Amino acid sequence: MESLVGILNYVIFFAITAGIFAMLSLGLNIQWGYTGLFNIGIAGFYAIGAYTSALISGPPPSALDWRTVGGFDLPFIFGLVGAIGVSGVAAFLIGIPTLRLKEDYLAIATIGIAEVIRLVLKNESWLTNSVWGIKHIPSPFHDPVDSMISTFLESHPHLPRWLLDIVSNGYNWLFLFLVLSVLIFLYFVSERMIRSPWGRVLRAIREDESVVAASGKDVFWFKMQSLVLGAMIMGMAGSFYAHYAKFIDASSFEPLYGTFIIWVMLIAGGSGNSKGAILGAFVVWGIWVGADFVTGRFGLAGFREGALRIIIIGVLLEAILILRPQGILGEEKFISKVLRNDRNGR
Amino acid sequence: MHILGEVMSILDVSDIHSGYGETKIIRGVSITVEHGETVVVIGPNGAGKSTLLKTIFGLLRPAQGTVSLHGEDITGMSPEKIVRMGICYVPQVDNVFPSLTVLENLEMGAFIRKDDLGTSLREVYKRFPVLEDKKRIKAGKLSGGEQQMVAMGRALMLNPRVLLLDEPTAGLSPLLVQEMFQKIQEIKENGVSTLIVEQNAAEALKYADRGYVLAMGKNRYHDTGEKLLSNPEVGKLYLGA
Amino acid sequence: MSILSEIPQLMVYGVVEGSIITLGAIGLSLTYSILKFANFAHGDMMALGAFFCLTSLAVLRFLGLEDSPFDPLSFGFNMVAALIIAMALAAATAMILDRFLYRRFRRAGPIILLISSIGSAFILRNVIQFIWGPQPQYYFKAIQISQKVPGLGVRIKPDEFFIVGIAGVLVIFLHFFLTRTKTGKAMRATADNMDLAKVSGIDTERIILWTWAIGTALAAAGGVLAGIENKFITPQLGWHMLLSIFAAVILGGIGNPYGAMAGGMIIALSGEISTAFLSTAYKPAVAFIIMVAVLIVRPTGLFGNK
Repeated sequence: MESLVGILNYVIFFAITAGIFAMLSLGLNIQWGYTGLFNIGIAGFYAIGAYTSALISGPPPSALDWRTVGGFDLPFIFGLVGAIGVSGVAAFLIGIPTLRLKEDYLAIATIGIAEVIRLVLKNESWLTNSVWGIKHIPSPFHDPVDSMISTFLESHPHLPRWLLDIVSNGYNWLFLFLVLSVLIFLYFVSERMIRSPWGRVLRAIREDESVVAASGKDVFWFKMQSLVLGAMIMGMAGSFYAHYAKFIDASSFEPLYGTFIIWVMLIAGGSGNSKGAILGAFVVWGIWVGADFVTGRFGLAGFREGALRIIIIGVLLEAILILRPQGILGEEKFISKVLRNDRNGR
Repeated sequence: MHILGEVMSILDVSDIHSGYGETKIIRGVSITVEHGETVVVIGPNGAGKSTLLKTIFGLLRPAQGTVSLHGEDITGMSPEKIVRMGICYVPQVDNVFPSLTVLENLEMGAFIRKDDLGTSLREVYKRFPVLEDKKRIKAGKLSGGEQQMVAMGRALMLNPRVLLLDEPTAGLSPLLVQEMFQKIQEIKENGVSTLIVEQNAAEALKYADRGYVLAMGKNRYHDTGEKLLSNPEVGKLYLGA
Repeated sequence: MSILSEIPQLMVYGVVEGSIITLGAIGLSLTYSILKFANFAHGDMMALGAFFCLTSLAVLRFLGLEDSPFDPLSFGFNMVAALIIAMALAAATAMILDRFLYRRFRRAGPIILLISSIGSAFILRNVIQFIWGPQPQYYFKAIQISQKVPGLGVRIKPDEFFIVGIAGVLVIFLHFFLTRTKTGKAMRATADNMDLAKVSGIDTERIILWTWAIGTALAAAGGVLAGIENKFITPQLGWHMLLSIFAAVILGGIGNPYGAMAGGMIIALSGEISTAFLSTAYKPAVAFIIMVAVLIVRPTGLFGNK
C-alpha cells in the first residue's frame, strides 16, 4: 500500500511539472503555432517570470546573500501578476528590434537574447544572488494549508497509514489543482482567441505575411501582441515554477530545460493546436521521466545517464520531424461559423 | 536516322498531361521537332507553354504521356541525365549565376564535360562577342540582354542536339529581340534543333519552320510558321496588336 | 589611461580568438549559403573535431608516435596528424548526418531544417559527453609561457602564432578551392541558384556532400585550435562559441567566406576590447548586440551583396 502512495505522490509531482511545461508550451503555441514566430528564447521569459515572482513574493535577502534587492514577501498573487507584467514588458522591448526579422534571423536573435538574459541573471548578483539563487520561496497558501493538515493529522492518529501519507502530501494536491485550473483557463482563453477575428489575422500571418500586409493590416503590431501574450504566459509558468521549486538559480533555466524541451513538446503534440501543446507536454515529459527510469537501470555514471536521456529526446524530435512532422494531433482545424452553419443545414 | 523506313523526329512529345499538384495545366499536348528545325510554341498566358518545356526537361514529371529523344524514351528522367543526352534548357528567369563571372557561367554550362573547353568557348564568343569582352565581369552586373546571352551561351557549351528556350526575348527591347532571333537562326544553321516557347508570337513565327498554338492546356493550331502568321484567326487571337 | 594601454594586448587576444571564430564562421557561411538554413549544430561539430583530435592523439601516442614538439610550439607532428584525422572524421560525420537526416528535408523549408539541426546539436553534444565525459580534458600537459614581442609591447605565445597561421592558411586554401577548382565553382553556382545548377548538369547532391565535408572540416580545425588556445576542451565548447560564430556570419554576409573572416575578427576584437570596460562575463553579449544591430540595419551583412 505504501509504495502505491509513493507512486501517487510521484504522479502528483509529475502532473505539476508537466502542467507548468504545458503552460510554456501553450505560450509557445501562440507565438509559433498560431503566428509563426520562431522564438528560441523561451527560457528568457520563463526565467524573468520566475525571478520577478521570487523577488516580489519571496523572502528578503539574508545577511549571507549577495542579493540586495527585492523580497517583499507579498502574497503569491502579487508575484504572479508581477511575473506576467514584467515578462510582457520584456517581450515588448525585445520585439521592437527583432520582429521585423525573417524567420531564421528571428530564431538566431531570440537565442542571443535568451543568452544575454541568462548572463545578466547569472552575473548581477545584487539582483539575483547569482549562482546561489533565491531560496525559501514560499508556495501560495502554504502555511494555512499546512497547519490545517497538521491539525487534521494530529486529531486523527488512528487512521490507516496510507491515508495519513496521502493527507500529509495534501498541499501538493492543492498546488496541482491550482496549476490545472490555470492551465484549463489558459486553454479556453487560447481557443477563444484563436477563433476570433484577431486570431484569424494571426493565422493568416503565419500562412503568408505579405498577403496580410497587402490588405492593410499592421503585421508588426499583430506579431507584437502575439509575442507579448505568449511571453506573459511563459512568465506565469515561471512564477508557478519558482513557488513550487522554492529555489531558483540561473541553471534552472538552461536552454535545455527552458527551451529545447518545450519545442519538442509542442512539435510532438502538434503545433498550431492548443490541445496538442498540452498533450505534447505530458507525453514528452513522460518520456523524459521514463527515460530516467530506463537509463537508471543500466547503472551508468551520472553524467552518462543525463546525456543518454537528452539523446533520447533529441532522437525523438528527429523521428517526429521525419515521420510525423505535424505531431500527434496535427494542426487545429478551424471551421468558420458560416461553413459550420452550412453543414448543419442552417 | 531511319528505322524501318520511318524518319524519327529528334524530339517527340506525345499526349502529355502535366502540371503542379492535382490540377494539370497541360491536358493532352503533342508536338514534334524534326532534325534541324526551329519549332515555336505560342499561346496566351497560362496555356502551359513553360510547363511543357519543364516537363520535357525533367523538371516536372508528367502524369501521362511520353517524351522521346530520337526514339529513346526520356519521360520523367532527371535534368542531370537529360543534359547528358544532348538536350539543353534555358529558363525564362534566373537563368544565370549572378555571383559568378561570365566565363565561370560558361564553364558551369560545360560542367559534365571533361575535355578542354577552348573550342566551345571560342565558338560562343564568336556568336556573342560581348561575352568575351565581359568575361571576367560577374553575370549579375550585366544588362538584361547580356544576361540572356550568357544564359544561351551556357546552354551551348555542351553542343546540344536540342535546345529548349523559354521566352528568350522576354523583357528585351525590340532591337534586341531581333538580334536574339537572328542568333537563334545562326545556331540553327549549326544543326541544332530548337524548341522555343514565346510571348513575342509574331516575331517568333517569322523565324519558325513550324509552330504550335496552345490554349488552355491543349493543342489548338499547328502549321508552318508562315501559314500561322497568315492565318486570320490565329492573328486575331494570339498575335495581338 | 591604463585602460588604453591594455588595448594592444587585448587586440592580440582578439586576433587569436578571431582566427578560431573565423574557421567556424566560414564553414557555417558555406553551408548556410548552399543548403539555405542556419545549422545550429555547427558549433558542436567544432567540439566533435576537438574530441576526435584528443582521441587520435591518444591513439598515436599509444602507437609510439612520441610528442616531440616543434620548438617552440607545444606540439609536434603527432598533433598535426591528429588534427588532420579529426577533420576527416568530422567531415565524415557531417556527410552521414546529411545522408540520413537533412536530405529528407531538402524541400521542406529552412524552419524544419533549423529545428532538426537544433535536435542534432543536442544529440551531438550529449554523445560527446556520453563518450568522453563532461570534465575538461587536455591536449598537452605542459603550459606554455607567453613571450614578449619585441617593439610592440605585447605578449604572445608561440602556439598562438600557429593558430593564426593555420587559420590563415586554411582560408587561403578555401579561396583557391572556390575560385580555381571546378567543384568549388560549382559550389558557388549552387549557392547562387540550385535549380539552374541542376539544369546545367551539376550533380547538386554531390556538391552538397562536398559542402558538408569542407565546412565541417574547417569547423573541426577551429575546435582543435580552440583546444590549443584554451588549454582544455569540454563538450560545451561549440555551444559557447555558436553565438559569436553566427554573429560573424551575419556580419560578413551569408555565403561570403571572406566576409565571415572579417566578421570573425571584428566580433573577437570587439569582445576582447570590451573587457576593458565591461565584465568579461558579458563578452558574448557584445557579439550578440553587434549581430542584432547588423540584422536590423543591414541584414545582408557588411560585405554581403544580395
